[in-house]
Amino acid sequence: MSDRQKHIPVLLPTPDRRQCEMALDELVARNVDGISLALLAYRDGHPYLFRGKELQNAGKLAAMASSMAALSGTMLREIDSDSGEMTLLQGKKGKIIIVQVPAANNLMLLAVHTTEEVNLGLLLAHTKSCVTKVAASFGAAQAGQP
Amino acid sequence: MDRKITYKLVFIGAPGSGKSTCIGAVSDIPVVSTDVACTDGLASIKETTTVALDYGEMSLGDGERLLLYGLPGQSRFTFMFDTVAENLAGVVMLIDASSAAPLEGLEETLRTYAGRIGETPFVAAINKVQGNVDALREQVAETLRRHGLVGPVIVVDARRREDMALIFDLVFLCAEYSDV
Ligand SMILES: Nc1nc2c(ncn2[C@@H]2O[C@H](COP(=O)(O)OP(=O)(O)OP(=O)(O)O)[C@@H](O)[C@H]2O)c(=O)[nH]1
Ligand SMILES: [Mg+2]
Repeated sequence: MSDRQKHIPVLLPTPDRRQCEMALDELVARNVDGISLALLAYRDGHPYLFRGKELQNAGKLAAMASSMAALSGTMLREIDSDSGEMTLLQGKKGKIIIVQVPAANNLMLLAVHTTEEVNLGLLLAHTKSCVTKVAASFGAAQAGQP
Repeated sequence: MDRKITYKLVFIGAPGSGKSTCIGAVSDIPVVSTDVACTDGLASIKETTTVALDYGEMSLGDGERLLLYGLPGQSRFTFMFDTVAENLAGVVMLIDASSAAPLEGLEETLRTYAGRIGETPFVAAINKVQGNVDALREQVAETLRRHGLVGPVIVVDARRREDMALIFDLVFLCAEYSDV
């Protein structure tokens, strides 16, 4: 399966693209200063949608988000048969948070980048609210875990 | 903790070629897996795909251990190679003989890792073989030559321990006799 082929989800539920765009726009453009980027990706690393800072390679970032999320989940399972829900990376110049979208069997991930001045609580609250909107856009019938 | 000698081997190859299967077949420890359910056409071949890495270990006796890393097959995950690249003992390239276009998969993998794998001992293993593969084997060897890679091309069943043992022997032979 070549990466050059366009990603065509096979028999999978899809979110409402318009609603996802609105949720990401709200997060990046309107709501919080310092959120520089939001990227919605499939769990196996295909990009779906991104907003914010010009990205040279959204595909690479989507793949990295899925790798990080999978490694976090693997580590949590190793210790406590838990599963991964959120991954937080703290750098010197900012933070990255990667959250599962709780719909359609965790089909998607949301990755958000902030500059250093954004406080963690605020980042979590806004990310959570965005993820809830994305999850709702799959339609009530398809929504997964709460 | 004692620090015994360890050797790192990395498995690369097209999606579905059998990298995770290989490591699962020979690891002495439960494999660390990062597979997730596929969301693309790969789902028609198998349910899950590796998005970070597989990790397994195999004892070589005398406290020496082989550390086995399986990478994702898709080129979007090339960055994962850099996380395991240091001090590699060898690279195992799997070629899926049952795929519709085994050589395309090989070409794509070679393009993906161009400049990264030339310096390390290298074994190409043709997997999932049915019937005669002499022609494919020759084509694989020819493709590798064209990419400036030298290494043995063998036929294996990735699910068999003995075949994996052969791969490891060859990697170490290459390391011993290579002048790189
Ligand atoms: N017949 C046959 N099947 C095999 C052999 N090796 C692997 N398989 C099967 O082929 C599939 C290979 O899947 P994986 O091991 O997940 O492949 P992978 O290379 O790790 O794939 P990605 O992580 O998606 O890149 C599995 O369904 C295996 O059971 C083999 O030697 N012979
Ligand atoms: Mg795999």
